[in-house]
Amino acid sequence: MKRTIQTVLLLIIVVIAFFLRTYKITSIPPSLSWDEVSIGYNAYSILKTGKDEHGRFLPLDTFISYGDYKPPLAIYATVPFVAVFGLSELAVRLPSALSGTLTVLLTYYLVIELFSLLTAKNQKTELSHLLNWLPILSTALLAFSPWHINLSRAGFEANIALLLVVLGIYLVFKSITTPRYWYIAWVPFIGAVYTFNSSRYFAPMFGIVLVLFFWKNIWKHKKEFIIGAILALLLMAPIVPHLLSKESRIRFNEVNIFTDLSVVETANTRITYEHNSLLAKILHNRRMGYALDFLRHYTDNLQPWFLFIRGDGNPKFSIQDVGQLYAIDAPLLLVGFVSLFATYPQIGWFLILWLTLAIVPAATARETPHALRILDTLPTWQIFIAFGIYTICSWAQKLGKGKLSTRVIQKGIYCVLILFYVFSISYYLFYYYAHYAKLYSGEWQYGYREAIRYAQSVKNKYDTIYISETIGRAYMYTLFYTTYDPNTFLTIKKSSFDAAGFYHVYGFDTYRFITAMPPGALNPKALYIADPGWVPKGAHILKTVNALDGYHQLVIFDI
Amino acid sequence: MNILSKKVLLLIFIMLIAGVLRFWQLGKVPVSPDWDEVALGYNAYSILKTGRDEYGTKLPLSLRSYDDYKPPLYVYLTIPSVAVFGLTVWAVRLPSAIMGLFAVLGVYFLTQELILLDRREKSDHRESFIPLFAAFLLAISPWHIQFSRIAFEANTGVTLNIWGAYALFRGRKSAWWLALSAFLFGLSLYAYHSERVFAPLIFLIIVALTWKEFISRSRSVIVAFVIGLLTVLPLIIVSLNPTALMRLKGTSSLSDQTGLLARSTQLLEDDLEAGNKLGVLFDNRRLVWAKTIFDGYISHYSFQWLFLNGDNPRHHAPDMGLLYLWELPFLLWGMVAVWKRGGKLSILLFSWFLIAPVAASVTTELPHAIRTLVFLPVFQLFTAFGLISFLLWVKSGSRFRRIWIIVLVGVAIFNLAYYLDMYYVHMDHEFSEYWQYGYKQAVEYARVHRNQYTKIVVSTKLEQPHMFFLFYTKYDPVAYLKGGGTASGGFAEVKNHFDIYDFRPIDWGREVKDGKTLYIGTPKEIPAGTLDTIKYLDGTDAIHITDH
Repeated sequence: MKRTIQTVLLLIIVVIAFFLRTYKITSIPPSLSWDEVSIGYNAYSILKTGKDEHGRFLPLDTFISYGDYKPPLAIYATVPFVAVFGLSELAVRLPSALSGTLTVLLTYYLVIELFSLLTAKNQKTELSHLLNWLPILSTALLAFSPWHINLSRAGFEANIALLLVVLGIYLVFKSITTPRYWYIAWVPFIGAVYTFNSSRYFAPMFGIVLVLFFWKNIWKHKKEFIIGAILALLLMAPIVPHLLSKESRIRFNEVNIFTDLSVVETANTRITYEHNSLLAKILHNRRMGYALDFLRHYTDNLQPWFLFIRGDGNPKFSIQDVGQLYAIDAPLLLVGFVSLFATYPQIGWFLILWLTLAIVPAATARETPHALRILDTLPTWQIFIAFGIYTICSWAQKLGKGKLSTRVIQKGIYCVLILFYVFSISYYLFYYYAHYAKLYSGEWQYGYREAIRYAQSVKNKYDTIYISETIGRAYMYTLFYTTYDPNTFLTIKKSSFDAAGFYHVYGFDTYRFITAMPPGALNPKALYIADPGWVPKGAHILKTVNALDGYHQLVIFDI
Repeated sequence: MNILSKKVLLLIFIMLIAGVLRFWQLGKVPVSPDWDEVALGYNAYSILKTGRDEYGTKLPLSLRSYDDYKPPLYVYLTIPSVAVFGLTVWAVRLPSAIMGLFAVLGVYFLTQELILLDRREKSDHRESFIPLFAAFLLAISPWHIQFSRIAFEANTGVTLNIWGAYALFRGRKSAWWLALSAFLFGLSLYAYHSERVFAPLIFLIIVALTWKEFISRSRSVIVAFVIGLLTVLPLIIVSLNPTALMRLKGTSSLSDQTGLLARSTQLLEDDLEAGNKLGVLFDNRRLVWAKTIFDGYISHYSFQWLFLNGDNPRHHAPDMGLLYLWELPFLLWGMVAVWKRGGKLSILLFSWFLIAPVAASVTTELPHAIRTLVFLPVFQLFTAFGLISFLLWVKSGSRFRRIWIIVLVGVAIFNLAYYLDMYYVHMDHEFSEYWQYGYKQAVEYARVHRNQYTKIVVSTKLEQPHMFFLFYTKYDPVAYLKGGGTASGGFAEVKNHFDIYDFRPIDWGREVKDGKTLYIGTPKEIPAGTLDTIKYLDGTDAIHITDH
């Protein structure tokens, strides 16, 4: 294929990728999740006052947010979008959608560099043919990936981190041929550390792998490398105190699997059953139990139903009707994996280390499998699959040189592949646009926007507005959808941190956030935005906010 | 010592290991027989004594049993064992253990044929050790040991696959082997349900790979064909009987159409409401079926299932999967090596790997270690190739690479020790509940105190208790059949009875409790086992016995 055709194809794919990541982005997913409103409002707060919602000036280490201590970079990345588009769905989601589109573009160049760098000398002749097809195939697969599309369409920090990881790897590749890139090669990795929790652990681990892969080259250009490394360390400095802080340890302890006491109990039972023999103490050591537990959580992320059939159980990350990958990807992944190791073992090792290390951080947490936390495995799946397609097609092409019957088989293979992909992609897009929003609007905390907008329109008639906390983080939705002034909020909010370190706002201005109806007689000057089950007798119902599937989310009433 | 006698010695050694792992404590580990094992045992006993099964069917070709219509081969294999050793758990499990040994031996010979399948310009003599590796890996395989030590039919099927395939390869040169292969593949259809899909498929694949070598030998092919046909003929007659399909219906994931299609129907209605015509294409029940089947099929390619968890506790040792964790890298390495090697061997092994779960894919409760037992020995074959590739890699590099051998041996021994400990020491203790422990003790109590009661009621909450009572009392099949044999189908299960034993649900509030009736049931039904309480080995209550 000629260079120009390649470029045109790439351009088309990137445009499609952008379209798939932005078309109807404000209404599908149907509403902003609590993390998205928090990112949006904190960006707004930074824009207007330079401070976050807690009054910290330009935090570089972390945003306290709900007490979940969000990494800072995604919020800063959202600031310009909020400046341009205002505090809106579009502003919050565009950074992720654009990052997704750029990742698609970058994948093309990444694959070219990867194969050019890590191919043995005697294979260089086959390489030019391979490079005609593989980069564009990988890019196309990522552009149409349900995994990547789903996570590009909402304000997920992980998706921005993925762009940084891919960019970092690409820059390291570039540094091999152009040593002065070493100066900045690690900057995107540091950026990833500032963007998402899983990437925070993956980026340094994979950095070591990269150094091991290219240590000969690094040794030759140690000056550039060392300067780059020092720059990276300096950039790390602001976040280190937070990483060592009590808060981040508490959060880790909450979600990790190594505090599960049943493992210890099982170990003790087994050792006692064998009368405390030395062998039993070695075999049934609790560390063995934890290692097995870790592997179970690890392999959760490789379960076929997760990858190919239903995807992540959390509808925010998957539409539930298509896996993280397409079903047709499964056989191609097998072929790609085996044939890549058979022909380009170095590249196989590189990709498999990338893939396996990117799952490690997620496997230490209880909630597995987790499509978001292992997002850094992209686009290795797509490269393996692309290589599988390439292998099958080149096998078919050899057939094509023979008799008529084999030529028919050849065309048949192409047709089957294309048909399967066209069907799978259509199936996914159909479900996404026809059913997804309606089926899972509840999962996207749907309802606050409609309720708060209504409250805004009648707000002058009341001196207090009670809002149910049940859907979650009502105060943040109120700040977001009333575009509340951040400075005023800081001075008048009533809030506290609970024992577990989570942040609660009980009220500000005329708004009160409640987990049950306030006791005593109802206030005649108050508006209530409550759960359907809370509505007292004699209430004057003004509006019912339904989720898109018709389920009653909130009831707005006064008396 | 020359290389051949070295290999023979090693093979004998491997067979010894396989024998010890399969025969040591046979009948005691697993601690008790489950319902299928006692059913196979008592039916063999019944056929031995009367020529009929528990329902009175003469020499059945499909064993009705609990209406699951078991394939008959294992019952007939059990008859001689029961005849010689009596109706004991050991005797019922013996044929499976012997079949397990044959499988290990068969893998050695089969692999020998496989590595010679493709003519290679320069073959490494070290490749000739692959058969030993494969046999050894099967000998210590947790998956194979599990099903070689219990009376489940599937294990016999695996052995027949291995020998059938081996005989077919030998059949390229010899009419005798070819005829034997036809017979063995035919016989395998009587061994287990999955075989009825897998055996024909693997047979066809081998024929497709080697047909050129048969073309000039039409006479022996015809003889083999006739023998194969004669072998399967009785089965074809039986399977024309619609009840034989009941088993498939009962276990099929597509049986519950309403539940399966509810969502898609709802979504289709939404589409019609929204005027979305594409809904007819995408919210289509055929797609739901296809997805369900594919989901079932692919569930077997799960690392977690294979290496860590297994499925039903009866199918694996606690905290063990079906394969050793240390095998994982060599399995993958072996797949790459076999792919690189290419040729017929590669096509055969990858086909075997891919068609093994086909039969299971339309059933429920997946992944399922028995229905896909036909995977064996393909994992071991790949791993053997991986190990050889690893050793060649070590030899080809610097001496430091030898450290990896020490690492491998260390990890493998640790893993093996862990498995042996979990299987032989902890499994009975932790899993006795799943092995329906306690029935033997309950029967024993009933037998000893039989004379004090006019009736003994056993709860059907203890699953299929009549079979356990027949088995452990060695109740005379002639008398049993005279009393009507087993009642089954619909609600007939609650009508089973023989001698003074009555098998039905217990409703504690309404029982007569006159002191002349003994009740044996679960702790949920009988509040206190005032006469006796049988406990599972982990200490929880299993069975309560009382008369008031």
